[in-house]
Amino acid sequence: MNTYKESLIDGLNTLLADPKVFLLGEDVEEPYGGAYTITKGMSTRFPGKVLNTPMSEQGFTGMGVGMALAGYKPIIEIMFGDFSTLIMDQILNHASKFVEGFEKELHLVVRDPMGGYRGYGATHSQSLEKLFVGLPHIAVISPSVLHEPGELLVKAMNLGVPVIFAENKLDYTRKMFRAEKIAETFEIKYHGGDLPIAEAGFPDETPELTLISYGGLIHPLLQMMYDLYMEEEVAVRLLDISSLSPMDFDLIHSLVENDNKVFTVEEGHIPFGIGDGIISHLAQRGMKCRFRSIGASQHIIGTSREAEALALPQIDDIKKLILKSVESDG
Amino acid sequence: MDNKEVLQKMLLIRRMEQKIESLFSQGLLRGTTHCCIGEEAVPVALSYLIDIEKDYLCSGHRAHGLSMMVTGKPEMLLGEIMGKPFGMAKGLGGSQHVYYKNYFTNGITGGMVPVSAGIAFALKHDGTDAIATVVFGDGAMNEGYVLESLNLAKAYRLPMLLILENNGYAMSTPIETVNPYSVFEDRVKGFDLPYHRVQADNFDNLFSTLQNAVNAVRTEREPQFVEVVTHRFCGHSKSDKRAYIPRERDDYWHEHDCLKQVAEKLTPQEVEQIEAQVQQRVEQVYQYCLNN
Repeated sequence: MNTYKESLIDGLNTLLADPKVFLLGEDVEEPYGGAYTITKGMSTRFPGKVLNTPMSEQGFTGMGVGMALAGYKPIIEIMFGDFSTLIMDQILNHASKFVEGFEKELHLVVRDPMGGYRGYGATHSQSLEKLFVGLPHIAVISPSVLHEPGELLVKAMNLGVPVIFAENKLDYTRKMFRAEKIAETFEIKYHGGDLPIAEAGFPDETPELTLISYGGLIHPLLQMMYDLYMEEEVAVRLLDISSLSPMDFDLIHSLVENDNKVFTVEEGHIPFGIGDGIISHLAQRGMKCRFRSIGASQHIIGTSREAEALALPQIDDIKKLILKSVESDG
Repeated sequence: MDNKEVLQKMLLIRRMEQKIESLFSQGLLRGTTHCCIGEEAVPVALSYLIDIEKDYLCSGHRAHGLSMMVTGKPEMLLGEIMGKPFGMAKGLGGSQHVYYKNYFTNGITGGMVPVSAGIAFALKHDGTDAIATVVFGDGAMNEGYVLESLNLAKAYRLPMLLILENNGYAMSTPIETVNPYSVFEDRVKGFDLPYHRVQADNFDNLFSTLQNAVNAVRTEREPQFVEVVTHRFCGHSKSDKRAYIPRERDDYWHEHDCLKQVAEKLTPQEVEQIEAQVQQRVEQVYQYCLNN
C-alpha cells in the first residue's frame, strides 16, 4: 500500500470479511464514514457489521469486551485517543482480568487515534499510550509510516489480549515511507518477530546517535534525519517500535548496546513516559550511555501554534539537541 | 416445581453463606467477601431458567448464591475463597472474580452490564435462542456505563435479561437518600425497556416473573428488565456491622423472608429433614475444602 490510510483500510476490509468481526464506533457508518473517513463505504460493503454507536465509550467498549468473551472479534473505534480515558475501566478492570482470571483469549482491538500538531487543543491532541503500557494482558500496538497499519491491525486481532491500537491522526494523510522520494537514501531493516522494530539508517554509515521512537513522529524524524545527513553530514539512526507493550527490551538492548548516545522521542508527556521506561531498562542492564528522553512538556496542549509548541516536542528543537550532542560529544 | 428442592437450594445458600461469614470472623479466610443472606431467591429461580451450557450469566461482587447454583458444587466456591486449585478460578479470583462455563463475575460495580450487552450482541448474531442474563444491585444503577447499557440494550435490541436486585442500600447508603425514589421503575421505563417489579419473598411470583422475562428474551430476542425488591440480612462485606439498617426493616423482612414462604408449603418434618441434610452437606463441603 502506498499510503498509511490505504493500508489501514485494507486491514479493516480483511478483518471484516471474517463473520466474527464487527466494527463499532461513533459516526462510522455511511455517509459519514468515521471522523477521518477511514470506514468510508464499509457499512455498505459489510451490511450490519459496521455500526454507529451512541456516544457511550464506556458502554460500547464494554460491549466489545463481552463480544470477545463470547468468541467474537470486535474492533472498537474511539474517535479521539483522548477519549480513551473513558474506556480504561473496561479494558483494565474487565478485559485484561478475564484473560488470566478466566483463562480466555480475547480478540478485541481498540482503534485509538492519538496525536497533536493540528491545533485541536488540550482534549483532542494527546498521546496517551503511556496510560496503557506495562499492564498485564493489555497490548499497545503502534503503526507508523514504517509499520504497515493494516498488517499490524490483522496481527493485533490475533494476539488474544485486548489491544490499544494507537494510530496517529497526522499519519492518516501520509504516504508509507518507502513511497517517499527520500526513502532511497535510507536503509531500512526489521528486527524481531510479528511485531518488529524497524531500524532506519544510512548505508555504510556508523550512526553517531540512535533515536528510539514510534507512531506519528516517525515521519518527521525521518525527514529530520535526511536533512541532518544531507546538510550536516551527521548520520543518525532511528528505531521504530511497533509493540509498545509488551516491549521487547532484550531486542532493543541488543540493538543499542554498543551505542554511546540514545535519545527517545515521543509525543506524550514526560516524565514517566515510554522513553523513560526504555532508558530505565537499558540502565538496569548496565548500559553506560548518554541517555535523553524527549517528549511533551508539563503543559496542556494549547490550540495556538505557540501554545502547542510550548507543550509538544518540536522537530527543530530535537535537531538542535542532536547537533549539540554530536558536536560536544556530550 | 418441587418445593422441597427449592427450599433445599435456598437453605444451602444461606447455610453456606453463614459458614463463610463464620470462617471470616474467625480469621480463617483471607481477603474479603460479600454474602447474599436474604437474597437467595433469585439464584435459586435462575437455576431452573438458565442453561449455562448455552446461555450466559454475569454478575458482580455479591454472587455466591449464583456461583453455587450454577456449579451445583459449593466446594468450588468455598475452595475458591480458600485459594484452592479446585476453586472456580483456581484460587486466583477469590469471592468476587469467578467463572464456570458461560458464567462470569467481576468485582467492579455494574461493570458486567455492558459486558453482558456485548455477549447478547454476539448471541443475537449467532442466531440461536440463547440469552445473556446479568444480575446487579441498586448501587450499580448509578454507574454511568450501566445506564449507557440500558440504552444500548434497547438501541440494538439485544437478547438480554437485566435483573436488578434492589436490597435498599448501596453498601451503607440508603437508595432514597441519593436517588429521587426507592425503586427504579421510572428510570428504566425512561429507556423504553419492558419493566417488571416483584418482591423476593414470594418465590412463586418471583419465579413466574423471571420465567416470563426469560421466555420473552428467548423468543423475541429483545431485552427485558426485572427489578427484584429484596433485603440483605448480612453486612455488605465481612466487616460491616449493619448500623445503618433500621430494626423495623429487618423485622419486616424476617416476616417476608424468602425461605419462610417456601418452608410454609412443607410439613415441619420435611423442613427439619432438609435442614439436617443441608447442615451435613455444608460440613462435608468445608471438610473437603480443608483437606484437599
